Amino acid sequence: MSKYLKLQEELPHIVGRYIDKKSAKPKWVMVVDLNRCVGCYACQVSCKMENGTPYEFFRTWVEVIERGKYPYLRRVFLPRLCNHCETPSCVPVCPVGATYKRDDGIVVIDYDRCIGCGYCIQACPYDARFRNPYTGTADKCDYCLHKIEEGEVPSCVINCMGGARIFGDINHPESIVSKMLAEKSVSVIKPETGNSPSVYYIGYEEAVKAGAPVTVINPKIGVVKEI
Amino acid sequence: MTNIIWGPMIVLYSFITGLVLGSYIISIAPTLFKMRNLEGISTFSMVTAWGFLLASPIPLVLELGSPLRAPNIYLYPTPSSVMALFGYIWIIFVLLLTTQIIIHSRYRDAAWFQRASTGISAIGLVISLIFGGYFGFIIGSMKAREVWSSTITPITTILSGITAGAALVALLAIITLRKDGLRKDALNSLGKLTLYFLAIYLVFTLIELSTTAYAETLTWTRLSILLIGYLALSFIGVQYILGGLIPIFMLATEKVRTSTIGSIVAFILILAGVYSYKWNLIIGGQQIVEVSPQLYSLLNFMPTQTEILATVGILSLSLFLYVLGLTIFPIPEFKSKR
Repeated sequence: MSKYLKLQEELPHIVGRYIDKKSAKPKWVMVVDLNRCVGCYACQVSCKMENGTPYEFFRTWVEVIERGKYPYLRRVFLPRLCNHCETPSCVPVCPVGATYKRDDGIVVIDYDRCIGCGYCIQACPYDARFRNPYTGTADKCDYCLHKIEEGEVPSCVINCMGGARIFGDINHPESIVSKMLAEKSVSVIKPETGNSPSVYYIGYEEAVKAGAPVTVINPKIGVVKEI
Repeated sequence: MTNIIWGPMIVLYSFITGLVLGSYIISIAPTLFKMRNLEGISTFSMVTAWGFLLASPIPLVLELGSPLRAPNIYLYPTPSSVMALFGYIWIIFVLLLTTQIIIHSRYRDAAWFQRASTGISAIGLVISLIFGGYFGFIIGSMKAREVWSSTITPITTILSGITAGAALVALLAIITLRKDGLRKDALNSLGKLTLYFLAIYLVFTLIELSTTAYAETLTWTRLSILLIGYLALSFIGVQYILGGLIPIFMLATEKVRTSTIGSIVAFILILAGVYSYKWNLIIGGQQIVEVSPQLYSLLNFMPTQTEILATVGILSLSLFLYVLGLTIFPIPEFKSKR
């Protein structure tokens, strides 16, 4: 085998394209390390390329949170996506049972059954869903299910240049996510909803710490400044 | 893109379900609540409710992203979803109301009429309250949207529905039954009833707003959109002044209640006020978006030409179905002249 072919074969493993540790009954989670996110938007762009989401709609997006005034300024990039909650608000409200939670923890939508009523979009506290204008159904992140079934990690994870997004099986004790969750202090967005998200953030508390003038740049809304 | 998910069609849907509830309550008031003054317009109110009830699913279906899949509600029953309830409640209500109209218009002289009428009215009361109030429940139980999340919303929805329904029945009764001898005392009672419900519903909307504001779930930023923002005209101008205070003052005097032009103006204003309430609740609630903790953004919204035409079209269709109902069911109120 030539060196080139060998590299081509090994490269996906070197850059972590494949899920390496998987238990018999996996439960997929994502850890987002905000200290590593550089705000390159590669996750946002690669998700759009992988899933073909319409213009101005996002399955994953990066919010830019600016706090304070120069020279005491802090800027944090906050990658957002469906939190694949343990007790999701979107699942019980669906009038046709088109959205459901799989055994591996992924909340999915049956696009052939969804009627596009928008109830799940309203019920989601994370604004993670949208109504796809082309399909007429609800749409959201499914952790790139088609890739997971092939043993690959989601598109946003493989394309994250800072290594801020880590994906894996929490049920496998040796997986990177299990080790990170055991060692690091993590938090979730809006814990008060009781939804128990499966997307954990490292450094989130610092990012959203109140008390300073704040500006948020959200690709779905635009620039929003605190009045 | 974050945008308005439930638009003017849902506002119209909520408005129509309220009209159905209100006109149905007026129709059963003589039987269940012994309001004998309203006996003369009982069957007429039922037909009004029937016409609007038949048209009520249309805006809901038009709002769907995939309207052709609407039958999936029946194909895949999901008891955990409140929205799934609509399909079943609607069918039950249509069957019950049609039966009730037939009994009231054809078997009024039968020996079993009184007992059957009371029984059906009691069941109908429960069904109509679920039908008219469940959308308020959907809105009120939405914990993801703090502006909506309120236990008072279902009650306000029911009260606003009864107010609008009573106003609609009164308006249509004046226009339709005037030549057939609409009794002044019936009009007077209807005016008084509408006045009471209007006052109670307005007080409840204020309680709804003040409790959420007091509980600090509705901060000043969000309250300001209603009071000084671009919803102020609809909120203060139409909902409270044009559709609230002015009709209250008008209906408080018996002279206006029993006059044709005065009461027509008052009832139209009430209908506009209740429609405005639904608009401010449903669309206004979605215009306020939480971007980050304690940071909100206001979305702009203007209805499209199609949405305006669809609203006018569906309301016209409802009125057509109401006229059709008057034609196919022999209404006792018309017996003297037709």
